[in-house]
Amino acid sequence: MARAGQSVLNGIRVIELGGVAAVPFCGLMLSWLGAEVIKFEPAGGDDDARRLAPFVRVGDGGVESAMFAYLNSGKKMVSFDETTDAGRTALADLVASATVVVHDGSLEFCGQSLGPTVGDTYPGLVACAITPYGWDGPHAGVPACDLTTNAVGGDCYLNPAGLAHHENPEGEPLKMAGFSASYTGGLAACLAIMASLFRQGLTGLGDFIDVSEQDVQVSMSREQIMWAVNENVLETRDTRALPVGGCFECKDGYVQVYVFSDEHWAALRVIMGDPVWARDERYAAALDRAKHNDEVNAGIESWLRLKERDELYTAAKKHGVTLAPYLGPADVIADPQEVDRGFPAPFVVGDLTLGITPGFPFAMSETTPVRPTGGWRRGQDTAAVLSGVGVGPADIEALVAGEVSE
Amino acid sequence: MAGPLDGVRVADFTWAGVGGYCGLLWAMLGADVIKIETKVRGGTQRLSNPARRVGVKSNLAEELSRDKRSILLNLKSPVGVDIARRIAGKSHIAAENFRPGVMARLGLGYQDLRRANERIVMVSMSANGQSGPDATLPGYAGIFGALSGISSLIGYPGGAPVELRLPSDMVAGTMGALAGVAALVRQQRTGQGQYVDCANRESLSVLIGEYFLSLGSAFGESGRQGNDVPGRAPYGCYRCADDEAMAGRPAAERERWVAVGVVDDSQWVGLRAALDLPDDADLRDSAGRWARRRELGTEIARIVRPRTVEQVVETLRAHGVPCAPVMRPPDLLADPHLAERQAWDVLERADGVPWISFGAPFRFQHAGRPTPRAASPLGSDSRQVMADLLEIDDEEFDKLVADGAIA
Repeated sequence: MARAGQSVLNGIRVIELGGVAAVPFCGLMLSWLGAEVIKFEPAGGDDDARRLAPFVRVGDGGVESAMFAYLNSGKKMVSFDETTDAGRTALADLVASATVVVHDGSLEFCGQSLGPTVGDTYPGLVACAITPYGWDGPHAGVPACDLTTNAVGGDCYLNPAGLAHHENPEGEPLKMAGFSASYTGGLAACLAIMASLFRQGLTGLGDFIDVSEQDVQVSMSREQIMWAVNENVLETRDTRALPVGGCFECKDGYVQVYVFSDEHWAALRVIMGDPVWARDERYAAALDRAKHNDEVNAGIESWLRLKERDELYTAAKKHGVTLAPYLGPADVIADPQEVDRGFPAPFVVGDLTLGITPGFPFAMSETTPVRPTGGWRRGQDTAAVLSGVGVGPADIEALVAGEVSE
Repeated sequence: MAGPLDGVRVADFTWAGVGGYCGLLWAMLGADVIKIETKVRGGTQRLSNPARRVGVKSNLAEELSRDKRSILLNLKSPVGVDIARRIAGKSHIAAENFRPGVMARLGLGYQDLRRANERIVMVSMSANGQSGPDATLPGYAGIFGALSGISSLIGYPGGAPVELRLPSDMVAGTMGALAGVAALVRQQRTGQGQYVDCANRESLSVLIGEYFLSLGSAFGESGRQGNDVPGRAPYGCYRCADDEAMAGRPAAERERWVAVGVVDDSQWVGLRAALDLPDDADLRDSAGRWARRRELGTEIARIVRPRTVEQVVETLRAHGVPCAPVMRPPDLLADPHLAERQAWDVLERADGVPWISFGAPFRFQHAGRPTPRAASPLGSDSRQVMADLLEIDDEEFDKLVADGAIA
């Protein structure tokens, strides 16, 4: 089994140049895999996520962005004025010391040195740009945010389907939870970076990777999109719902029920107590249930309304029914399954446990993920990191002169 | 051009959305992904998709089996299982997403594959992971989405949570693909293989980590907030004029929406100018706009309602405001940006009918992009793969078919 200290990316240095969600999430995944991630915040302003909700208490009555803390704890925080000659040189030195750079293209330095021609300056470097629309094309550089990434991804138009849409048919199309669409762009970029590291291991060569957050979203919605464009069937929020099953309200919350096969239906009938209505011959076959789905769903709903979420889940597990409760984050960290797997992880900074975060989403038998610890104060590691790449103490002092100390 | 995983081979036992997309990403990175299908399981992905209207042919196979080779084995036959092990013996990665225990029962568990190939990386993906009291429960996107916590945060304020569909399978598949390549990098460095256990619900939970972390603070769980991002306003989707080209179609097909997200004060200045919104002093900072977000949203909705989404987007972008049409599939296909980036592939299917598909979600300047190929018909690469990998000649192949090991 796993041996302490053995991580996948032990000894790999990553420079992170970009804020808010996609680039930091990519950096988080790389740091979980054991990379040394150095987050650079430019003179022009720190990462916007430092001000974004939700928030977490950090002791002494202080309150900070839980989003920033979650994404960035465990990284080395470096900041200096990169717009001066000395700053440009220091940033170039930092990049030269790295194996991977992940950026959002926003700094002038990224455009000049970390784009498609990166190999001219840094032949072994893996440079990955994560941008809303990709590195080139007519929309490159168009103003964007997490919501527009959702909008141009193909799924937002169909979201929500099922009960939420039924309750509010005139409601606006919805984005995914929090910044998760942007995080997904960072996840896809992390996969691409790892693949590039594999190639680098064989050939010694670096690469420039162009990840468009729009492409990532469209790629994930490829089934519904290709269905529409090849077979001219336009699905809408009205027609997307599962024919039978879906999200239902129960006595104290919501449950998801999945009924497609005859086995699913038979098992559901058992935990419903095989009511008379469910024995109707017209519901015996999947196609017929779909034809009469309003009746079947109404029958399921009237039964669920009287039941509690946890009691339903217990019965479902016992009888093999594909039914699960809608859990909130507080439920997830208390769920016996996740507790047993050790997935909820204490979030420790120094001597303080600030809360619980999700752990690493996969378990590897021979390598251990690296749990983030450490604070995220702007510039806290600037001097140590810069001296590590050979910048002298006087030069460091000059570089950080404009930095506001907290 | 070949892609960064050129030379990597995958013995792909996966099926359905999560596993299918995981293998697809590896194939799009240049790996030789050999999809090992059985008449029962292989068929599941290739027949109608349960999430679709019943009776409609699925295109999951067209999309998720593209760029892969397909072989058909009878895994109930010892000879079929032996062939599967020998293919794993020639592969860097083996992947599966059956319920925990199924592969071991077939004689294809990690220990079995390790005997065939000491260096193998095996990736298992399942709804709840391989351990714990709920490990063997079945899961689909809506089920593990509900268990992950993420669905509870999607929806209108005070309304029901939102059931997740295929795109969340794809998130879990991306995580599986990352896990496999991470182990591959390690294999390259140390010569050591390993087993990787991916829990699909956990792959979704990590996308909302900040909502876990904030639980202990008085701010608590914020629940369903529609499109709100606290502190950012205006931020939402607003209905524009109906699509005239869809006249006569159902209302839901005609409606168009614009997404507008003001992230900083300068963008508010742009939005205000573009839509002639009031220049109240309290609206100049985000706290003031957030306090009046409902009123601002109503006003923006009123202004854009008679305009076409294209007009609104053009005006707002000219003023530096983040905005975009909420794009439907035909809008994506007609999008000049995606066209100029050559984001689409036209695949030549075995039946001669061209199939429009979408390319890889990443581009490598030097390693390149693998040449796209249409999904192989079920089992159509069996003979070639057996010859390439296992030196099984035609005569032996025909005997295996006659013995029922293949197909």
